[in-house]
Amino acid sequence: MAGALESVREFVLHIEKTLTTRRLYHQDSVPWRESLERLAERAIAAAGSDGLALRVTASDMFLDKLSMVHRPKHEDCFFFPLYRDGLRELTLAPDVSRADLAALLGVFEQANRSGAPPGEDTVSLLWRAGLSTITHNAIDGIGDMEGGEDETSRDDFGALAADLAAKISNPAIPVTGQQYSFVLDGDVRVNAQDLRYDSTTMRRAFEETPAVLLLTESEAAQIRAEVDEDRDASLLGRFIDILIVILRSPLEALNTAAIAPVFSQLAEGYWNGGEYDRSAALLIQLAAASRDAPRYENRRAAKEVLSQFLTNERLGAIVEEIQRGGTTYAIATQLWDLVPDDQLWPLLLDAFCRVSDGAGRTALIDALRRRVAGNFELLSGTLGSPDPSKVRAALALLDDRSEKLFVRQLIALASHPDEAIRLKGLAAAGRFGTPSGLEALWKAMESDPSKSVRLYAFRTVALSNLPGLAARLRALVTDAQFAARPAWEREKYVRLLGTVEGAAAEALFESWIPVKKRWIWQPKDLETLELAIRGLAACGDHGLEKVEAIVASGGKPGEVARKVLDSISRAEIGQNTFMRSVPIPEGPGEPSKEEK
Amino acid sequence: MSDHPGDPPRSESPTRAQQRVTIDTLALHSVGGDVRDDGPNAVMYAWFQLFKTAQIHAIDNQALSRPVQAFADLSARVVARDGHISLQAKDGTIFLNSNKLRLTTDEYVLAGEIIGFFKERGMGGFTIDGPLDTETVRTLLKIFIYAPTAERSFESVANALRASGAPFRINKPLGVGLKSRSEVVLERRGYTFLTYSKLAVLYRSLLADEKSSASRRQYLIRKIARTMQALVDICIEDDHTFLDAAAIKSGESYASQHAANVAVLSIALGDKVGFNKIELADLGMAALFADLGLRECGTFIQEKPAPLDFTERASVELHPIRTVQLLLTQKTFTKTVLSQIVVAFEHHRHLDGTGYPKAQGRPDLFSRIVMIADVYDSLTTLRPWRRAYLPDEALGMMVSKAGPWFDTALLKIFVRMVGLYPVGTLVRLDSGEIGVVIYGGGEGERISRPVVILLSKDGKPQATVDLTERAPEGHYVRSIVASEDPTAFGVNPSGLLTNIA
Repeated sequence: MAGALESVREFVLHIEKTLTTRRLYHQDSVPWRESLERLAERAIAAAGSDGLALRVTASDMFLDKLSMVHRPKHEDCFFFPLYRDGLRELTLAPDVSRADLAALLGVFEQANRSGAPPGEDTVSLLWRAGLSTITHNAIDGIGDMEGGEDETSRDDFGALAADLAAKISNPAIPVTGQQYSFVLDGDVRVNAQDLRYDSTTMRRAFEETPAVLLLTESEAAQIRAEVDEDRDASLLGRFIDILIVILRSPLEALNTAAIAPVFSQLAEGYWNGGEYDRSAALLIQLAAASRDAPRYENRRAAKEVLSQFLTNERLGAIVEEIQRGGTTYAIATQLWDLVPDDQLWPLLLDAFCRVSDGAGRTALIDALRRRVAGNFELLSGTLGSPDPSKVRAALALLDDRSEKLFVRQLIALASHPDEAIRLKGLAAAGRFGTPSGLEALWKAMESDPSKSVRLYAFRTVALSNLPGLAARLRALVTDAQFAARPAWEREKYVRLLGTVEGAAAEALFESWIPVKKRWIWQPKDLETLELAIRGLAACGDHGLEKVEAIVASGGKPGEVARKVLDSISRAEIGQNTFMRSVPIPEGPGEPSKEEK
Repeated sequence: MSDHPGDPPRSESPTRAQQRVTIDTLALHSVGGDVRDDGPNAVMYAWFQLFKTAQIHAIDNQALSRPVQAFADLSARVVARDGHISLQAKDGTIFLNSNKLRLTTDEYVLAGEIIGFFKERGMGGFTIDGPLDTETVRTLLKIFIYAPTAERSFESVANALRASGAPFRINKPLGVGLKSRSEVVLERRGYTFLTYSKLAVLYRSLLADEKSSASRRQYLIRKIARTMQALVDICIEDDHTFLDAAAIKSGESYASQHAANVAVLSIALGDKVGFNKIELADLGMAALFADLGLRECGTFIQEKPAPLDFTERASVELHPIRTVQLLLTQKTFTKTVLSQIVVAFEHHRHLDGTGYPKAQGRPDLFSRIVMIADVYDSLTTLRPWRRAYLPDEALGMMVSKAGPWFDTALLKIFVRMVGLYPVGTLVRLDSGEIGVVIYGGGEGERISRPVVILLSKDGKPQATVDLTERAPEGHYVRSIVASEDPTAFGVNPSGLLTNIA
């Protein structure tokens, strides 16, 4: 007997130990599993061949009259919450199962950690655990006095129930109760003559064909399928439909204040669970209600839920989900479509700038284009952004047709602080060929701080019909600051001037040729001499003849002129000389990376 | 066929003043104290005090006089009130007249002593069929306490009691097979009807306490949940006895009686469909709360003894949404709560799209079950604007709507479950006799041939006959000719159902 007592005590104490272990360790850990194993061994030992009944009080678990565990403080007593809700006895069968023990521990844990869900008590948890080898006895508190801590427990429902049970046993003599001549019974018309449905019809049908009440195979299959279906999903779907019906109801009596938070919880729950499709479906319905609901309050409530839920953070996060395959572009689009342009556009642009490739980038560019298709102003504003990445993103959205809508903005990019953007702007200016574009090109050629930009602008200008180009070039090359420009740049401008003005420019270039003795030629003089001869050579056939004459005259000028002629003859003499080494972009092409 | 309103006032005051349980009352019931009232636990206290005192003192000791007198007085009062006293131990607790006693911690110790006393004598409890005087009580003590240990077996005690002529008999422990079947059935019925009554009372309180605090509502809902679990356990154990509860048509306001009946019928039907016990509890809760919003319509509309006008009808048709709104005040939405909301919203929507409120899609399985239970109980209940249809009439009307309104498969299961003549139906037999169906439904011919308790001309129960019984020639001994209106015979089947074994 003493041994049995000890094994029971050991089992009860081990419940407590196991609960502690489960608090400290993960459920996949060895201590967690081992503690349950040991508990199961002790439970079987304690239950013996007759089973084990433990009486539960507020502070003790008794075996008969002997306390197996004594925990006077409620906070230390793992069974107190269950006792408080009515548990009075736990009985373990001799073959108590490990699964039941685990479930029992789960009930103790939930009871101590979070208590029972609303509308239920902790004994209900025990009932719901569906234990087969552990049974419990509990009082339900109806009519007894144990709960007497608040006013509610003073109601004697037991007496009322007994009273009702007595009335049921000894009911009053029935009366017909009909108080008026029967005409119409709500929904169903019944024979007004005798008010009696001929129920013998059903009986005859059954007796003639007893199978009439048996389920057909399809009926049975359908019922089975419904019983086995995922009720959680089904219930949630229906629940949402119901909430939407209420939200869209025109009835003033309905208070939607309670509904809005539920929508938020549902959307958030789906979202956090990674079920973006459900979340999107819910939000789409909400968005529709926010537009169509007959009552202003309901529309406003729906809008508030949407605006509070669709935060920038969530909308941005969806891109990452697309990247890692957590959702699809279609779902993301559904969500993005619920958000106003002014909120979504910057987000999408930012995301687009961050995402370099992959499905996310494709999704983003599609989404951005969809937005632009509905609102051109978005792109217009973005093209004026000082942020190069945003401008680049905006440019990526343009195509041959759409860029014509943004001529002004594109040309304005020629003065963007970012060099690459300026090049894009110049390329557009060159393609459009508008006066403002050509002016932008000239300005860039003339004064852009970047060499590559000036070079690109020069090449484009050379091909353009810029009004007054000759005069502009002449003014440029005769400017006092011209000498400060790099040699290659001066050479190009000079040659271009020669090409554009032809013979008219010869005098200018000839005036640049220094007259010096052989022994006093300085590098600077030679540089100027070469520049002048190159300009002269670009002035057409007559100019070239003059260069040949200089060659014939010998001396240092002849030497330099020979060098110039050689370089010209190595290329295609007769073509525009400035084109020798300058590949001109065709059509609306943009400068290559090398050029940049 | 009406699946419409019809619920009586919710704020109806209880038929009996509520007993207030206080600390003072608890002190009255302390071990060894005097028995000062006839509450449900009084017999237990009196018996405990009696045998404990007798175990200490000799039979002629003055100390024994008081408990003997107290027990005699109490037995006289309770027998006069209830007809008999049955104190029975089962599964570690005590039942008085089939009602499970609710025990405090101290009382639990006391009950343990009584159970030990019973075990020692191989008995499960005792029944007192008549008032006891002090001499008889002393005789009982001689048999129980002062007899030699060898004479304390069940048989010896039972024989001694019989020989004494005292209106006192002992019972075998419940569940060991030695108790008569009728006693077991009666006890089970008693427990079933009491649990049903609890449910109705708690639901009535919930309706009446419209303006009560959230904690009070939660308290009631928790109690209802526990009661529902008890009902599910009963249903799983014995669905026939369980279904009897749904035939109750008296003693309670329409709203709570209807709600409790719909819950019972839904659980029973859900059990047949194949739901597990947790789903059955959810189904029961959903069925119970399905018409909660009807209280917003007001008594005038619900009790109007005439057809409703357009506005009134619209108000009634709003009640599913009102119910949903009430249920939405829950703090969290568990599966149980969601089931309640869905059923509340859908249980008046027909399969063909008619009904209300308008919505898309086929109603949920729970909703379709509750719809059948709701309409059946509504039709078979007396309403101010019409009589109560007879159960078989109601079934016939519902079957005529199978498909467009009701799920045909579920309705088939339902009809098989309750039978073509459901329990409580008053029937006329081809023998000319009148009787009440007390057992029916299931499989085979039992569906149309129930067990009937025959009634005398003055409505008293007589013999029980099984309509599947055949004569040697092969034909049935008795068959049902027609169902009859109980009001015409002054019979209320509810009373019969609770008292038959």
